[in-house]
Amino acid sequence: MIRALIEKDLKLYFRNPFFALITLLGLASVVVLYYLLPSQADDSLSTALVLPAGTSAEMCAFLSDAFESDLLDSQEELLKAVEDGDYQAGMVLTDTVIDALVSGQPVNVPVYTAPGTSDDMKAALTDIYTAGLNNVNFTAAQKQININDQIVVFGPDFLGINEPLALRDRMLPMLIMMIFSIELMGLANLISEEVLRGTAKALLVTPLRTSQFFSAKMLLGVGLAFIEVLLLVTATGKLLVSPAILVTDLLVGGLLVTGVAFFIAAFATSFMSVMSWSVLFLLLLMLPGISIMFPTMVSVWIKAIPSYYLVDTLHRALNYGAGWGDVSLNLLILLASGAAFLLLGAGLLRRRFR
Amino acid sequence: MRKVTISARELTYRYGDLTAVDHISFEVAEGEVLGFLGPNGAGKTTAVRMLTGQLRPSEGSAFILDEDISKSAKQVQQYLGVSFETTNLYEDMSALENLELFARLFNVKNFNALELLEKVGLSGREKERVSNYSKGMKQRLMLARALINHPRILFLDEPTDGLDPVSSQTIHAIIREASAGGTTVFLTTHDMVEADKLAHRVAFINKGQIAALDQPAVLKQHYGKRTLKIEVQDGQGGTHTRSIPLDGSETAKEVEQVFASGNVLTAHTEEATLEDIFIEITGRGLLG
Repeated sequence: MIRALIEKDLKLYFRNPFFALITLLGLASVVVLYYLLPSQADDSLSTALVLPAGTSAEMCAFLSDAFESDLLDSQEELLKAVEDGDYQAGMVLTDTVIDALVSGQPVNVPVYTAPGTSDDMKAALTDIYTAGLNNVNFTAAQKQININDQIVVFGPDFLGINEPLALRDRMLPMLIMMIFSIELMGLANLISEEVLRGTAKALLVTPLRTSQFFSAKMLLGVGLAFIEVLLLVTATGKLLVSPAILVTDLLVGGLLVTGVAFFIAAFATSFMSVMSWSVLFLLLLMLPGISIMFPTMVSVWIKAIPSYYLVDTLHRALNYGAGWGDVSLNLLILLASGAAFLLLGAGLLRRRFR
Repeated sequence: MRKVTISARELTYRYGDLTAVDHISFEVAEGEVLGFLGPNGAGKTTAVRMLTGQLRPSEGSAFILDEDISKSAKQVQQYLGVSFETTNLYEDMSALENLELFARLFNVKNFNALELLEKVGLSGREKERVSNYSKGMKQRLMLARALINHPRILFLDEPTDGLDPVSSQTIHAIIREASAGGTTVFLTTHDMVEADKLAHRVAFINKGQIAALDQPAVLKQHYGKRTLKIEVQDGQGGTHTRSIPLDGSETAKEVEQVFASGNVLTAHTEEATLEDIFIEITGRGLLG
């Protein structure tokens, strides 16, 4: 019976032109997007420097090296290049400034930054230029600056300080969540239609049990979601990075998505209602993906969203080779959340059958 | 004596403070067609939902094929065929796919969908999506679906509501055939003419209670008033109709007087309809 229902639901899912299209198109788009994103992280800072006319070649080379900057010919050229985003920052050193530096006098030098530079970045740039200016000073005074800037990271480097992650790898957990979200809408609609069109009633006056009805929906939901994200992971070449953890995480993630779909279907009163509820949950479930992309920008409350444990596990396993010991608690929380949504949704749906 | 297949005992269902079905008791025999008649909201559908195991009674019990439906719903449902008031087919699937799905759920072996579809007048369109079907075709397909497992009891909820005469006739023929084959038919309707034609007995349900339950002829005899309708030509070239109750003490005298005038154009007797009797018993119409 369960098999008959699953076969029927698969037919209906792919006969719905909207869901068939967004499923296939969504999957293809996400794969294309992944490959369009840079495969290498570019964390370098590009800065520019303007020196007074007539500065010797040796001094130009020295200062360019001290500031790790490209040399430009004029202040106008520098301002335009920074404004256009060719450089993240720039500075103009005049004769007066260089003389003051050499003689150990304090200097006041404006740093030009590109539009939209964050305050954190501005502060970092100021530090870099200050260190550079001090370096010029100490070099002139025959004293080398000696700073030990070795950074030690404990455990996986989630900030990407030692080995910066490519944007596409950082985004992959969120892309997987997007595919899960598409599946969430489709499944919620499929279940909701059974209730709204009364077909569930017709099924349940046959020998089919309510538990079998829910089992069929759960297997379909988990299976469909799992296969879709597995295709994505395979297409991105990440399947073999940590296959056992990956498959487990995606299966349990499929359970969570199916549970949420049950929950939505229990409340939805029309197609538009399914869409509205789905968008609300979709936004919530996608949020933890952002915390992976921008680790320092999200507060701790993000951990209250169950999908955090899905994307965090994916991120640790795919990008940092985390083992079972690192992710088992995540998987347990994810499993418990999925089961809770599933039971709650099934309970509420059962009430609607009456 | 024929075997009892449906037995309701003090069956009651409450939605909060509202008692939708109020202590109804009745029995239906094998092969019998019982018309369950009443206006919208009278409690017909709730009663059917309890009898088919979809709802657990608040009070009382229902025995279907000698099994308490609340306790053995799934075993009993194997032998039931249910056609719902509102269309609930998979509209994005064909008629054939709809029937094949339910045949699998009932585990029916050697299932011939085409034969069944031919029976309900849908052969030739079996591969078309149900969403393209007319209301009558959908209703006939629902009946075909209800017949898939060769049910011992057929529950039909308003099977001909809003249908064209051809579709209605097809459904009536199938009900008669099923009954003749020993299937009990529980026919819920507010169409009194249909009930009169098909049902061996009718139950009037009003405000959740059974107001009367008997054969249509017996009900008419008991509650109905027979009337003689005489069309008479008047002096100005027009006509008017006189109604004379046949059960009155002055009937013979009145009839004699009218015929003596020599102006009688037509005369015929008229018996009460089930609707008239329903109104007389419950004080309300079927559409109310």
